Amino acid sequence: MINQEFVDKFRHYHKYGTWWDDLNPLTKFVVCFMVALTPIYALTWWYGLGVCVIVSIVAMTSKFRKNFFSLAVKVFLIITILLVVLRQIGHRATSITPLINIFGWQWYVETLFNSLNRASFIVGFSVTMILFFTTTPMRDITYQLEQMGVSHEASYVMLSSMQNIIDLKATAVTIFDSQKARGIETTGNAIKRAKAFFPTLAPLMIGAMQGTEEKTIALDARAFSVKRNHSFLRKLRPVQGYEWAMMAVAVIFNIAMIFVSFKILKQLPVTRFF
Amino acid sequence: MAIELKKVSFSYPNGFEAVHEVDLRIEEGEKVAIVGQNGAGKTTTVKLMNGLNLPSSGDVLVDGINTKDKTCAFMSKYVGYVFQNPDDQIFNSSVRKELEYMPKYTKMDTKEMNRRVERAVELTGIQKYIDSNPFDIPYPIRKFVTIASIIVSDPKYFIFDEPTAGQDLHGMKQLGYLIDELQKEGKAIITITHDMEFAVNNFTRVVAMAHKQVIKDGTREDTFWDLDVIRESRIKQPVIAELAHDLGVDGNVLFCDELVAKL
Amino acid sequence: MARIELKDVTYRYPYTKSPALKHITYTFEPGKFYGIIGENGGGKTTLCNLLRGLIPHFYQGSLKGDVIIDGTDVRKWDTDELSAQIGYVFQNPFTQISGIKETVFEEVGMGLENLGYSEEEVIKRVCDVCELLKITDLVEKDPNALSGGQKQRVAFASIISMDTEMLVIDEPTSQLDPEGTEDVFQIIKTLKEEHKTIVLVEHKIDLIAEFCDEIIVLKDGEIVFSGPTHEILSNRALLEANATIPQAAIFGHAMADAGKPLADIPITIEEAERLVRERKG
Repeated sequence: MINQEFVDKFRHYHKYGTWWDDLNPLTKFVVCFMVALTPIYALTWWYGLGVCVIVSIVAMTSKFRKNFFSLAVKVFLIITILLVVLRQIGHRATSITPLINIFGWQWYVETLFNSLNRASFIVGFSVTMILFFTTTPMRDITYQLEQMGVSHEASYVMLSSMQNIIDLKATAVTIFDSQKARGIETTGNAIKRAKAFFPTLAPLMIGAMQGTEEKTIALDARAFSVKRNHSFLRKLRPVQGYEWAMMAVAVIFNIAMIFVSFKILKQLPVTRFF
Repeated sequence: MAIELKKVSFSYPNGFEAVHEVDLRIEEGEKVAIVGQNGAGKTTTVKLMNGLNLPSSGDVLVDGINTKDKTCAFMSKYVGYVFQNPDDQIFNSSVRKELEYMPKYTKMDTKEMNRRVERAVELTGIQKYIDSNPFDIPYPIRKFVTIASIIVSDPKYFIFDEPTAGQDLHGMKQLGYLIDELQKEGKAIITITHDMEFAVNNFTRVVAMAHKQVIKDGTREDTFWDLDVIRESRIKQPVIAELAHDLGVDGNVLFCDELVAKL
Repeated sequence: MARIELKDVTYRYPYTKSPALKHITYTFEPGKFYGIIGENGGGKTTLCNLLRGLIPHFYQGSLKGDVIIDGTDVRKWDTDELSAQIGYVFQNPFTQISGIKETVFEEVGMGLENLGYSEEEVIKRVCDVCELLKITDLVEKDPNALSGGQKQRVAFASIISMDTEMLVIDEPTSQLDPEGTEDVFQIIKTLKEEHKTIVLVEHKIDLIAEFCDEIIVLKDGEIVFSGPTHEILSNRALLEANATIPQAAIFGHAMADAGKPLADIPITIEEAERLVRERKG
């Protein structure tokens, strides 16, 4: 017997069960994108940090929080540290207040804040977009794109490329083994390994091309290209009234931030390290 | 001289154990079929024989050499392995180039190379495809190209993984022929197969595997008439054996003439 | 419906010199089960491609003669609509899985989505076909993570859910283990009971012997034998033509040669058993 509870799920909009995750992908995208742009105008370290904190709080409510944090934390740390350290090499005339001296390498306060400001726009933008991409599965994105008129061929390409990478990796391992087993050395010095490169790469490419032909035929057998309106077994909730409102607020906020950034933020003493 | 598996277990990096304490010894010049369901550990076991898999515990010795001490490419001089899917191996633009690839890689002398290539082509029956692009020839023939390329390397032990898939009667006969010829040269042939008719017609020793272990290692009569083993390894008796069993004919009949004689 | 007529069909793939099919004339009747056997390179898969409309729509090349599907010439058929008429399952279980669905249930329903069936209709049909093919235990699983045998069953379900009148099945078991093969045999048996029009290419001759109503033997692109299964498979000429014939038939011929003829040449093991018992009296 088929689990009826499982089947019943297809009779309703697909639900993740959390407020943020269940927003329509379009809503999530517009909100995230509008917010993501603001640290770029602000160019202010505490604003960028604030965005990251708020985004993290939203992410905490998501089912996909693990994916978000594992990526966002890396991006945050790498970009911030990189910019902070690099900026301390070669100073400008505005750098006057000494911070620390590491074995003769002088760090300045102005440079530190300057680099944090720079980092804040990259990090603020990235972390916000990471929220969108890690909490919105690709198939949700393609579903919404199809609803908005994008062809399902395009959806297929986007969705299958992920699976293709997984499959290709598995095939590469087999091919590698197969060439080892016939005597091609794959370990040892660089020349030996370089010699093994072609015999493993070529079957992979040829195999991928052949697979494509079969895949086309298989999809065709599933009426993939039939020119009729498609139906969807797995459906997402359409954009709700309040979601439209959220998007509107996000757009207004974005426009407001342009004004605020250039007229007010830059004048505040705490941000004026350039 | 032999391939010896001594209490060999193998686990994948993710911790999944695919083979558990297998003992198996294959002598030079033997013909052995390994049968059993997918997941029984057949492919993992044969990959232990050429060092593609290294035992998690226990030892694998090939003519006294422990596979742990050498690379897989080194072991290929002793043990030739023909993969199930020829497309994982072939990459040259002609069959001849494919066959000459390894000899040239090992800088073999041209005369010897030509002699070996000629022999391999004769054994596999691919004369008429020798100058073709491997990808223009039918899949079952491509399989013979990979077999030929391993024959050229002249190992002592041959492993074939599912050689019969997609083969027609002609292909089956060619396989039977090359296995016999290789054995006459003193080679050992180890074959994984799902095709019980192929197993019974070409192999005198049949190893049955189930649940990560060898559950029977005996003559074809022993293995195919051990009904518990048949059930446990979820294989089928060859058709004539099944018919003899249904008719209540005794004497572990496997072949048509035997059955006819008994009726 | 689902009647296909081939009239003197000759087909040559692009960039090849000799035709893959030569002067094929045959009529496929609705509700019958056809087996296609013969040597590799004999044209079996090409014939499938022809019946499925992949020739001339997907594969170019030169097609002579008439291929008439449900009264309409194949050249006039909309190639995409044909896929809704004729189901197609082939040997490679891996390339038949779409790779874009998260559960087997959705995978099986994909063809129906493409045809635009309503939600309830899709759910009903997917449930029915999963029950019919006994894959209910798989519906919640990730289709990409299944074994070859399971994938092949899902591939069958995905095509059968579309409920085409006719199915073309090309070597469905050649990459499966005995258990997977047995599962596919069961599916084919179910399809026969549903009275679909089926064309099956298969090397496992015992499968052909058990299920097919008619057999076509191809060699070098030509039909060398065709007719009712028993008549063809028990024909001694087939043995002499180097074709694979059932072990039971080989046994039957051997009994005759040994001067112990059975009343008929058996083509399945059950028949052989019955005939031997009858002979003993």
